[in-house]
Amino acid sequence: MDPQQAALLVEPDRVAAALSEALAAIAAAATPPDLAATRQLHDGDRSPLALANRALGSLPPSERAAAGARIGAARTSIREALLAREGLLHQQWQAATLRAERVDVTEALTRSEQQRPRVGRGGRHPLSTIAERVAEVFTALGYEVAEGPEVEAEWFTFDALNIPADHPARSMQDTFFVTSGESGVVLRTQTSPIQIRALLARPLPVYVIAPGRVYRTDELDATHTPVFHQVEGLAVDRGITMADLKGTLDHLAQAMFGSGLVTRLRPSYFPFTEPSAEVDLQCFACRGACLTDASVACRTCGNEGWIEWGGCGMVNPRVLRGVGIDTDTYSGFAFGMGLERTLMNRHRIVDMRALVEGDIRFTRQFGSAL
Amino acid sequence: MRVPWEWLGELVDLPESASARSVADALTRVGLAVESIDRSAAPFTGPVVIGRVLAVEELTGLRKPIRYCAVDVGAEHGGTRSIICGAPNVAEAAHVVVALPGSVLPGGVAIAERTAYRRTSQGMICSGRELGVSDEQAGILILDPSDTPMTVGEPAARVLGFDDPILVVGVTPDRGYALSMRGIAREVGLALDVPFHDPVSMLHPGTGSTGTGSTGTGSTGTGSTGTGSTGTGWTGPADAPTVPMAEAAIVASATIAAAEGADRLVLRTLTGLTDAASPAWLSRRLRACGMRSISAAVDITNYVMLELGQPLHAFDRSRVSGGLTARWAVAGERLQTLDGIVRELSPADLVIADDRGPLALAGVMGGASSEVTADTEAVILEAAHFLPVAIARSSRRHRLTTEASRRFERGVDPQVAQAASVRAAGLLADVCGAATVGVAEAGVPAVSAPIVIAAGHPGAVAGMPIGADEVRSRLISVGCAVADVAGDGERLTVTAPSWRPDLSEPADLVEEVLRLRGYDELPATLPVGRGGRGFTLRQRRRQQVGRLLAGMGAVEVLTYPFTGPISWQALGLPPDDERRQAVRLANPLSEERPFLRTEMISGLLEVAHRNNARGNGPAVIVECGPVMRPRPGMDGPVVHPAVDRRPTAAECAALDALLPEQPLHLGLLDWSSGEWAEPIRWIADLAADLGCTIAVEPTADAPFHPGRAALVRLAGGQVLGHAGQLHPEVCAAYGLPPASGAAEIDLDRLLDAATEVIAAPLSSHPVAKEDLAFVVADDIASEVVARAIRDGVGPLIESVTLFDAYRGPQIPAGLVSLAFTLRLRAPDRTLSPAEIRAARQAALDAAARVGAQLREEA
Repeated sequence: MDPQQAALLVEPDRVAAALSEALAAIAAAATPPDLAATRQLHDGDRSPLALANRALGSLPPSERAAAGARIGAARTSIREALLAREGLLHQQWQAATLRAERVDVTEALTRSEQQRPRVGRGGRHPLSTIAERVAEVFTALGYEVAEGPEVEAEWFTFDALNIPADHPARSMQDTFFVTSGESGVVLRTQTSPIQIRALLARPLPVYVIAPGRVYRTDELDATHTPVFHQVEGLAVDRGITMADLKGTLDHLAQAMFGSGLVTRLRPSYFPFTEPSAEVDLQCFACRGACLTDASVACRTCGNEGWIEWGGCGMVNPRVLRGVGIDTDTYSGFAFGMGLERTLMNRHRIVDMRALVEGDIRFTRQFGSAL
Repeated sequence: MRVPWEWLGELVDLPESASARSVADALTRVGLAVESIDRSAAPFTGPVVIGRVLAVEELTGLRKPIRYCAVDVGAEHGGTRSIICGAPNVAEAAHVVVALPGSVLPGGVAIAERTAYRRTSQGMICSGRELGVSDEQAGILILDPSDTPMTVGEPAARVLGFDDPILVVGVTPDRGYALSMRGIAREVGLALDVPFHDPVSMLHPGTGSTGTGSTGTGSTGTGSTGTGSTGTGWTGPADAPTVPMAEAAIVASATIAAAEGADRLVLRTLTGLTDAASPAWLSRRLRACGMRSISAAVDITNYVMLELGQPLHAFDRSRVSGGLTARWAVAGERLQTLDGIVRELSPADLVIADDRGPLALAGVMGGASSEVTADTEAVILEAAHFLPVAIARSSRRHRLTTEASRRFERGVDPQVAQAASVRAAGLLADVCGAATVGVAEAGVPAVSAPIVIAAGHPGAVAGMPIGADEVRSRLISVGCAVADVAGDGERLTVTAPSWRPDLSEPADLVEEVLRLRGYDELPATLPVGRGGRGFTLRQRRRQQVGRLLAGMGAVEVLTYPFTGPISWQALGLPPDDERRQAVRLANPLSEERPFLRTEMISGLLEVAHRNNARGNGPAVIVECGPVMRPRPGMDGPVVHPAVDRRPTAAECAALDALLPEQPLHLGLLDWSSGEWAEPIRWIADLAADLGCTIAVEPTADAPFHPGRAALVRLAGGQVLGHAGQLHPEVCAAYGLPPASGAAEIDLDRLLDAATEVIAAPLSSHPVAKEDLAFVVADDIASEVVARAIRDGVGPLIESVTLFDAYRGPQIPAGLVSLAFTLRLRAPDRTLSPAEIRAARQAALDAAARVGAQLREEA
């Protein structure tokens, strides 16, 4: 380019004029299409400042730096203005659109509903239905369904269950604490605090079943989830025995997994029961055949013959005394098991994440009952 | 607790037929769950075998001594091999470990044939360090065939203790005694009904050395014999070397100045300690139990802890000023523990201190300033009994769990301190040549209070007959002393053994009897509740809601109730929105979601997004669950009702006042229909199924479209929630179609409002239909006109339904045409034309009063 012509293009007055012209046009753009046209005109390849920029190369070296800075600053200003205007116009456009889209919301109710859209097949989450199923088995035995809060006082979660502060059993379960350590509130680690609430609220005898959601600080993986479900059973009456506990667990096993199945109790420790036991479920797939027949390889129980199911025991007399029950007259049993584990066993669900992710294909398999 | 098989066999007479598996099953049946059976894996691979040195040739003229050895490694490995070795302790006839070419030692050291000093070396004779069995590197590892039988050429792994079965026992917190070989072996004896040899009674206590002060008797002045009955260093105190009385001046005195924290302190001062490596049997057992070999003195304290369950600590005598005291720390005191951390102590920390200050965090960890080193010549061996709560508190405060603290928290036998001290002294004498110069002790541990139990109680709890003789013999077998209260066998006075602090109530004794009898023998009986009323009305309605929604086509999901500002931002909640007031977790899994949810929609949006990403849907998803909202006063003082009686109503109320509100909410997300009205209709249908009607009014609340969402009220005016189309930016943020809709209602309120149905009388007379179209200002809701018509016509109106709403060129701007169908019917007669005309006129008049004019037909 001819240096003289180039010098003309980068003149300060000329740059300033281009800038003010551009800014005025941007401010005047009323719609997004307007603004797009303005951008083309003042910031496009053929815009005055783009041409001026290209002319820089034809200037004497001594003048280039100053001219370049001048043009650069002007172009930056234009681009900033475009951006700001774009945001504003988008907001205005959206506000206008939303205004224009406004409807009479009462029409949702006054209109006849002849043409409701179809949304596909629904389904209940199997954890909800299995909780109902367990509750149903027990209501048929004369139990009632008890409930309690998920965000629970430490006292109900631990102290009243014979787990004093500083007792190692408190750290058996990884607890979520609310705010500071001194709030006295946790996310319940088990459904057992419902036992205490039920015994405080109900007249004796008490026969309750309590499904519910519980929390422990485990990361989600194929076999763990920080948020899961348990079902708690409690019977407190005159002359309740451990044989009653065993018979009740056998009954539940048969109701959930098939007739003839039994459970096995192994001595264990829970602060709120004494004696305490782990409950194993006879493998419903091989029914223990893998133990006696070497040719049977059972994937369900891993050739153990039994599947770990939950914990149970006779309600610790300390717990009963703590709710004011005369332990000379009354005794009780309690049990608790994970519903996820029950469900996974019952329906061959191999990965815990299927229960957590909310994939509609998973839930739809189960329909609305189990 | 890791239980090495060979060690177990020393304490229990295991039957010939017993296998690790069968013992594991038996232990599990009595309540010590064996979680797995390990085999200690060797840290080396390839041909690492036992060799015997046949000849040693000293190579001369080299800068350092080098020996060229002929080693028999067994015919299967080529017979005699020639190996270069620099170690000074290589000697003819020594049994050694040879790594042959092809083997790989710890640290990835690959062994190959090599040439040096003009000789070929066909392998390597290994030191303990090179094999990863000890830290010893001064010379090669020399094995003692009288210690462990071995044959030349066999894989070294077995001899080094690497293929012994190890039972991994999950010890529940009540059974502290099972954190020792002594405790486990006792249980194995009970489970298999075979003799158990209590290592404490094997110590033959009762000689002068178990008293207080220095022993000063039977001085032998020589090293130990090293010929214990079992070959593993059993040395009673009578065999232990002692020193003359003159040295008693250095004996550390013992003082307990914290009675609520410690009730037993036994301090044994030993001198003449030499720095030695642990013998192979000792380091092998430690390793099998999951502990590293450090030095003989430290290893021995750990070994005795594993054996007897009594944590021990050794202080360097020269770094202790005066005697030792168990006392509470003073605020401002500090202690650098062995892990190098300087800890600020609190008055609730129990410490072991000398004249100058704390030396150890009692029952948790020793201090750096008095640590035993290679130069230590005299030690004070501490064996103490600390109270579980004191140790648990310190351990928790300092976030420091150690082998010692685990045991003290769960209960250490308060009577075993002296025996453990004697046992350790014997081993220190054997291995390190140390001699006891004196023992000081303080404190008398509490003895177990007797428990009175009816002999028939265990059977009554079990629900099967268990005879008094069986009850008595089972309790005696676990170590209890049993006496008759009245001599008639009806009631028993039972005193638990010192190692069973968990036995304090009849119920605890019942468990002992039943677990040893075997839970498998319990009969099965089925009790039933009396007067159970089935599900409550509310519970039935919850189930009804779940089934109805599924029947209507919604897919139920269950989301985690964790949330955070990112979600609130995505929903477009304004800064002062009450849904930003949330309950915070102290230890959330994710720093981005430290709060408990206050609304249901963001969780559903994430699930919808995930389904979209997997190509699922479109669909309608729902979730019922609690939201948590802070309640004023929930940060009030925490109450701690006593647990030995029923809490008062006021105490229960104070506990409940700590909790946030947790109302049950229903969330629904529809990215299927694309109709703004659908979420409102879902709620209306749900309400109708529960016998409720809803009313709606416009709202601009987030996260909804400001012109296409409704505030939903119950007919009584109570706010139920929101429903309608989502704001387009919310849809965009989660990648959902722009007209996706959502609803969230307080389900508790809806269930509260649900009513029993009172059946309406149904008329069998014909219905009269009238279609009327009105023009009305665009901002008058159709519901306003419909209601006016209903009210104006009165009892004859059965329904008013909108069938068309028209805005467009055929009517003036700012107006809308609303066309309704009126259904008219009387309960007792067919309506006459005059009645219908009158009703029509009443509808027109009523509509006119809200500004709706009958539209002239075009």
